[in-house]
Amino acid sequence: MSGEESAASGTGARTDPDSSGSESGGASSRFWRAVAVIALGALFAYDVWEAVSTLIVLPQFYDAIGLPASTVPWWLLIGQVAIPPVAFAGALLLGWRRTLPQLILLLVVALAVVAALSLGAVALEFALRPAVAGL
Amino acid sequence: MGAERDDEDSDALTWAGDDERGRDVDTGPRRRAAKRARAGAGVDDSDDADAAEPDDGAGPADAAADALPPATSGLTLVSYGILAGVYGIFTIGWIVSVLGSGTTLGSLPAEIMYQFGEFLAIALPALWFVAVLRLATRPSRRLLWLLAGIPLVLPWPWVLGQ
Repeated sequence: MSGEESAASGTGARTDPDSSGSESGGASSRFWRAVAVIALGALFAYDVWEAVSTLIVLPQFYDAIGLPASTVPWWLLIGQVAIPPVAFAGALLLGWRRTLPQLILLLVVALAVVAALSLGAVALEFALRPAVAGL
Repeated sequence: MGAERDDEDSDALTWAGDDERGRDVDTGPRRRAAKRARAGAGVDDSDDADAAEPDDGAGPADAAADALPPATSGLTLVSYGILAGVYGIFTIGWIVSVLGSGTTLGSLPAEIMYQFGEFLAIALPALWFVAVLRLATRPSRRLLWLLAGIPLVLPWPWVLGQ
Protein backbone atom coordinates (compact mmCIF):
# COMPACT_ATOMS: atom_id res chain seq x y z
CA MET A 1 0.00 0.00 0.00
CA SER A 2 2.67 2.47 1.05
CA GLY A 3 4.92 0.99 -1.60
CA GLU A 4 2.34 1.94 -4.19
CA GLU A 5 2.25 5.54 -3.03
CA SER A 6 6.00 5.87 -2.76
CA ALA A 7 6.22 4.47 -6.28
CA ALA A 8 3.88 7.23 -7.40
CA SER A 9 5.84 10.03 -5.79
CA GLY A 10 9.06 8.42 -6.99
CA THR A 11 7.85 8.62 -10.56
CA GLY A 12 6.86 12.22 -10.02
CA ALA A 13 10.27 13.16 -8.68
CA ARG A 14 11.99 11.47 -11.57
CA THR A 15 10.04 13.06 -14.40
CA ASP A 16 9.44 16.51 -12.90
CA PRO A 17 12.51 18.17 -14.43
CA ASP A 18 11.42 16.93 -17.86
CA SER A 19 7.84 18.11 -17.60
CA SER A 20 8.70 21.55 -16.21
CA GLY A 21 9.96 22.60 -19.62
CA SER A 22 6.67 21.95 -21.39
CA GLU A 23 4.37 23.01 -18.56
CA SER A 24 3.44 26.66 -18.43
CA GLY A 25 2.07 26.46 -14.87
CA GLY A 26 5.45 25.64 -13.33
CA ALA A 27 5.61 24.70 -9.66
CA SER A 28 1.90 25.04 -8.87
CA SER A 29 0.91 22.86 -11.83
CA ARG A 30 3.45 20.28 -10.70
CA PHE A 31 1.92 20.45 -7.23
CA TRP A 32 -1.60 19.72 -8.54
CA ARG A 33 -0.32 16.89 -10.71
CA ALA A 34 1.28 15.36 -7.64
CA VAL A 35 -1.96 15.83 -5.66
CA ALA A 36 -4.00 14.11 -8.41
CA VAL A 37 -1.54 11.24 -8.78
CA ILE A 38 -1.30 10.64 -5.01
CA ALA A 39 -5.08 10.96 -4.40
CA LEU A 40 -6.02 8.60 -7.22
CA GLY A 41 -2.99 6.42 -6.45
CA ALA A 42 -4.46 5.87 -2.97
CA LEU A 43 -7.58 4.38 -4.59
CA PHE A 44 -5.39 2.04 -6.66
CA ALA A 45 -3.58 1.13 -3.45
CA TYR A 46 -6.93 0.27 -1.86
CA ASP A 47 -7.61 -2.10 -4.76
CA VAL A 48 -4.26 -3.79 -4.14
CA TRP A 49 -5.17 -4.09 -0.46
CA GLU A 50 -8.51 -5.71 -1.35
CA ALA A 51 -6.85 -8.13 -3.77
CA VAL A 52 -4.26 -9.09 -1.15
CA SER A 53 -6.97 -9.80 1.42
CA THR A 54 -8.76 -11.99 -1.12
CA LEU A 55 -5.46 -13.77 -1.79
CA ILE A 56 -5.20 -14.55 1.92
CA VAL A 57 -8.85 -15.28 2.73
CA LEU A 58 -9.99 -17.29 -0.30
CA PRO A 59 -7.64 -20.29 0.21
CA GLN A 60 -8.83 -20.43 3.85
CA PHE A 61 -12.43 -20.33 2.63
CA TYR A 62 -11.75 -23.16 0.16
CA ASP A 63 -10.23 -25.17 3.01
CA ALA A 64 -13.24 -24.43 5.24
CA ILE A 65 -15.76 -25.68 2.70
CA GLY A 66 -13.74 -28.81 2.04
CA LEU A 67 -12.20 -28.01 -1.34
CA PRO A 68 -8.67 -29.32 -1.92
CA ALA A 69 -5.87 -26.74 -2.06
CA SER A 70 -5.15 -27.72 -5.66
CA THR A 71 -8.46 -26.15 -6.75
CA VAL A 72 -7.47 -22.66 -5.52
CA PRO A 73 -7.13 -20.44 -8.66
CA TRP A 74 -3.77 -18.94 -7.70
CA TRP A 75 -3.18 -17.40 -11.14
CA LEU A 76 -6.41 -15.45 -10.76
CA LEU A 77 -5.67 -14.30 -7.21
CA ILE A 78 -2.14 -13.19 -8.09
CA GLY A 79 -3.37 -11.53 -11.27
CA GLN A 80 -5.87 -9.56 -9.22
CA VAL A 81 -3.03 -8.20 -7.08
CA ALA A 82 -0.99 -7.31 -10.17
CA ILE A 83 -3.74 -5.52 -12.11
CA PRO A 84 -3.97 -2.24 -10.10
CA PRO A 85 -0.21 -1.41 -10.23
CA VAL A 86 -0.09 -2.28 -13.94
CA ALA A 87 -3.11 -0.10 -14.71
CA PHE A 88 -1.74 2.75 -12.57
CA ALA A 89 1.66 2.60 -14.28
CA GLY A 90 -0.02 2.44 -17.70
CA ALA A 91 -2.12 5.52 -17.02
CA LEU A 92 0.93 7.41 -15.72
CA LEU A 93 2.98 6.41 -18.77
CA LEU A 94 0.28 7.53 -21.19
CA GLY A 95 -0.70 10.64 -19.26
CA TRP A 96 2.45 12.08 -17.79
CA ARG A 97 3.23 14.29 -20.79
CA ARG A 98 -0.38 15.38 -21.16
CA THR A 99 -2.33 18.14 -19.44
CA LEU A 100 -3.62 17.72 -15.90
CA PRO A 101 -7.28 17.07 -16.87
CA GLN A 102 -6.13 14.48 -19.41
CA LEU A 103 -3.90 12.81 -16.82
CA ILE A 104 -6.83 12.71 -14.38
CA LEU A 105 -9.10 11.26 -17.08
CA LEU A 106 -6.56 8.51 -17.82
CA LEU A 107 -6.17 7.67 -14.12
CA VAL A 108 -9.97 7.53 -13.63
CA VAL A 109 -10.35 5.28 -16.69
CA ALA A 110 -7.58 3.03 -15.36
CA LEU A 111 -9.29 2.93 -11.96
CA ALA A 112 -12.57 1.94 -13.63
CA VAL A 113 -10.76 -0.79 -15.59
CA VAL A 114 -9.38 -2.15 -12.30
CA ALA A 115 -12.86 -2.05 -10.73
CA ALA A 116 -14.42 -3.85 -13.71
CA LEU A 117 -11.70 -6.50 -13.91
CA SER A 118 -11.98 -7.10 -10.14
CA LEU A 119 -15.71 -7.75 -10.49
CA GLY A 120 -14.91 -9.99 -13.46
CA ALA A 121 -12.30 -11.88 -11.42
CA VAL A 122 -14.82 -12.49 -8.63
CA ALA A 123 -17.33 -13.83 -11.16
CA LEU A 124 -14.67 -15.98 -12.84
CA GLU A 125 -13.56 -17.45 -9.51
CA PHE A 126 -17.17 -18.34 -8.74
CA ALA A 127 -17.63 -19.89 -12.18
CA LEU A 128 -14.44 -21.96 -11.82
CA ARG A 129 -15.11 -23.06 -8.27
CA PRO A 130 -15.90 -26.79 -8.17
CA ALA A 131 -19.36 -27.65 -6.92
CA VAL A 132 -19.48 -28.64 -3.28
CA ALA A 133 -22.25 -30.82 -1.93
CA GLY A 134 -24.49 -28.85 0.42
CA LEU A 135 -23.43 -25.41 -0.82
CA MET B 1 -46.62 23.09 -43.76
CA GLY B 2 -42.99 23.05 -44.84
CA ALA B 3 -41.88 22.89 -41.24
CA GLU B 4 -44.18 19.96 -40.59
CA ARG B 5 -42.72 18.06 -43.48
CA ASP B 6 -39.25 18.73 -42.07
CA ASP B 7 -40.33 17.25 -38.76
CA GLU B 8 -41.60 14.15 -40.52
CA ASP B 9 -38.28 13.95 -42.32
CA SER B 10 -36.38 14.07 -39.05
CA ASP B 11 -38.66 11.37 -37.61
CA ALA B 12 -37.75 9.16 -40.51
CA LEU B 13 -34.05 9.81 -39.88
CA THR B 14 -34.22 8.97 -36.17
CA TRP B 15 -33.17 5.54 -35.01
CA ALA B 16 -35.22 3.90 -32.32
CA GLY B 17 -33.12 3.71 -29.18
CA ASP B 18 -31.02 6.76 -29.99
CA ASP B 19 -32.09 8.48 -26.78
CA GLU B 20 -31.18 5.38 -24.77
CA ARG B 21 -27.64 5.70 -26.04
CA GLY B 22 -27.64 9.35 -25.11
CA ARG B 23 -27.33 10.48 -28.68
CA ASP B 24 -28.58 13.69 -30.12
CA VAL B 25 -31.83 12.70 -31.81
CA ASP B 26 -32.56 16.16 -33.11
CA THR B 27 -31.52 15.42 -36.66
CA GLY B 28 -33.79 18.05 -38.22
CA PRO B 29 -31.67 21.17 -37.78
CA ARG B 30 -28.52 19.24 -38.43
CA ARG B 31 -29.91 17.88 -41.65
CA ARG B 32 -31.06 21.32 -42.66
CA ALA B 33 -27.68 22.82 -41.79
CA ALA B 34 -25.95 20.18 -43.87
CA LYS B 35 -28.27 20.92 -46.78
CA ARG B 36 -27.59 24.64 -46.42
CA ALA B 37 -23.87 24.02 -46.42
CA ARG B 38 -24.11 21.91 -49.54
CA ALA B 39 -26.14 24.61 -51.22
CA GLY B 40 -23.29 27.01 -50.49
CA ALA B 41 -25.31 29.07 -48.03
CA GLY B 42 -22.61 28.86 -45.35
CA VAL B 43 -22.26 26.87 -42.18
CA ASP B 44 -23.67 28.08 -38.91
CA ASP B 45 -22.24 27.59 -35.43
CA SER B 46 -24.26 24.49 -34.66
CA ASP B 47 -22.09 22.55 -37.06
CA ASP B 48 -19.03 23.29 -34.95
CA ALA B 49 -20.76 21.54 -32.10
CA ASP B 50 -21.41 18.60 -34.40
CA ALA B 51 -17.75 18.49 -35.31
CA ALA B 52 -16.89 18.07 -31.65
CA GLU B 53 -18.82 14.82 -31.30
CA PRO B 54 -17.42 12.23 -33.68
CA ASP B 55 -19.32 9.41 -31.90
CA ASP B 56 -22.48 10.08 -33.81
CA GLY B 57 -24.48 7.30 -35.34
CA ALA B 58 -23.84 6.41 -38.93
CA GLY B 59 -27.00 7.95 -40.43
CA PRO B 60 -27.05 11.48 -39.01
CA ALA B 61 -23.26 11.64 -38.96
CA ASP B 62 -23.05 11.08 -42.68
CA ALA B 63 -25.36 14.00 -43.27
CA ALA B 64 -23.34 16.18 -40.91
CA ALA B 65 -20.05 14.99 -42.35
CA ASP B 66 -20.94 16.52 -45.69
CA ALA B 67 -20.84 19.91 -44.04
CA LEU B 68 -17.54 19.28 -42.26
CA PRO B 69 -13.96 19.49 -43.42
CA PRO B 70 -12.99 16.08 -44.84
CA ALA B 71 -11.08 15.06 -41.70
CA THR B 72 -12.91 11.82 -40.94
CA SER B 73 -13.99 9.38 -43.58
CA GLY B 74 -17.48 7.93 -43.72
CA LEU B 75 -16.14 4.43 -43.06
CA THR B 76 -14.41 5.64 -39.91
CA LEU B 77 -17.60 7.28 -38.67
CA VAL B 78 -19.55 4.10 -39.35
CA SER B 79 -16.91 2.17 -37.36
CA TYR B 80 -17.23 4.64 -34.47
CA GLY B 81 -21.00 4.20 -34.64
CA ILE B 82 -20.79 0.41 -34.52
CA LEU B 83 -18.29 0.50 -31.66
CA ALA B 84 -20.46 3.03 -29.81
CA GLY B 85 -23.32 0.54 -30.11
CA VAL B 86 -21.13 -2.29 -28.80
CA TYR B 87 -19.96 -0.14 -25.89
CA GLY B 88 -23.59 0.83 -25.22
CA ILE B 89 -24.52 -2.86 -24.97
CA PHE B 90 -21.60 -3.34 -22.54
CA THR B 91 -23.01 -0.54 -20.37
CA ILE B 92 -26.39 -2.30 -20.30
CA GLY B 93 -24.59 -5.54 -19.42
CA TRP B 94 -22.85 -3.88 -16.48
CA ILE B 95 -26.11 -2.35 -15.25
CA VAL B 96 -27.89 -5.72 -15.43
CA SER B 97 -25.00 -7.45 -13.71
CA VAL B 98 -24.72 -4.87 -10.91
CA LEU B 99 -28.48 -4.79 -10.31
CA GLY B 100 -28.52 -8.58 -10.15
CA SER B 101 -25.64 -8.92 -7.70
CA GLY B 102 -26.65 -9.28 -4.08
CA THR B 103 -23.16 -8.87 -2.67
CA THR B 104 -23.04 -7.07 0.65
CA LEU B 105 -19.90 -6.58 2.68
CA GLY B 106 -19.50 -6.49 6.42
CA SER B 107 -18.22 -3.01 7.11
CA LEU B 108 -19.60 0.27 5.85
CA PRO B 109 -16.32 1.58 4.32
CA ALA B 110 -15.84 -1.70 2.46
CA GLU B 111 -19.43 -1.54 1.24
CA ILE B 112 -18.97 2.07 0.05
CA MET B 113 -15.81 1.17 -1.85
CA TYR B 114 -17.48 -1.90 -3.38
CA GLN B 115 -20.44 0.13 -4.61
CA PHE B 116 -18.07 2.81 -5.90
CA GLY B 117 -16.35 0.05 -7.85
CA GLU B 118 -19.70 -1.08 -9.27
CA PHE B 119 -20.45 2.51 -10.29
CA LEU B 120 -17.06 2.79 -12.00
CA ALA B 121 -17.69 -0.48 -13.84
CA ILE B 122 -21.01 0.83 -15.19
CA ALA B 123 -19.34 4.07 -16.24
CA LEU B 124 -16.31 2.32 -17.73
CA PRO B 125 -17.50 1.73 -21.34
CA ALA B 126 -18.56 5.37 -21.70
CA LEU B 127 -15.39 6.59 -19.95
CA TRP B 128 -13.16 4.50 -22.23
CA PHE B 129 -14.99 5.68 -25.34
CA VAL B 130 -14.82 9.35 -24.41
CA ALA B 131 -11.20 9.09 -23.32
CA VAL B 132 -10.18 7.49 -26.63
CA LEU B 133 -11.99 10.11 -28.70
CA ARG B 134 -10.55 12.95 -26.60
CA LEU B 135 -6.98 11.74 -26.23
CA ALA B 136 -6.24 9.93 -29.49
CA THR B 137 -6.25 12.08 -32.60
CA ARG B 138 -5.56 9.77 -35.54
CA PRO B 139 -8.61 7.69 -36.59
CA SER B 140 -6.50 4.53 -36.88
CA ARG B 141 -5.24 4.98 -33.32
CA ARG B 142 -8.76 5.60 -32.07
CA LEU B 143 -10.10 2.44 -33.69
CA LEU B 144 -7.16 0.48 -32.32
CA TRP B 145 -7.77 1.72 -28.77
CA LEU B 146 -11.52 1.15 -29.05
CA LEU B 147 -10.92 -2.43 -30.21
CA ALA B 148 -8.22 -3.00 -27.59
CA GLY B 149 -10.63 -1.79 -24.92
CA ILE B 150 -13.29 -4.40 -25.66
CA PRO B 151 -11.87 -7.19 -23.45
CA LEU B 152 -11.19 -4.65 -20.69
CA VAL B 153 -14.63 -3.02 -20.60
CA LEU B 154 -16.56 -6.23 -21.34
CA PRO B 155 -19.02 -6.99 -18.49
CA TRP B 156 -17.40 -10.29 -17.53
CA PRO B 157 -19.87 -11.08 -14.70
CA TRP B 158 -22.67 -10.74 -17.26
CA VAL B 159 -20.82 -12.84 -19.86
CA LEU B 160 -20.13 -15.53 -17.25
CA GLY B 161 -23.79 -15.60 -16.38
CA GLN B 162 -23.71 -13.98 -12.96
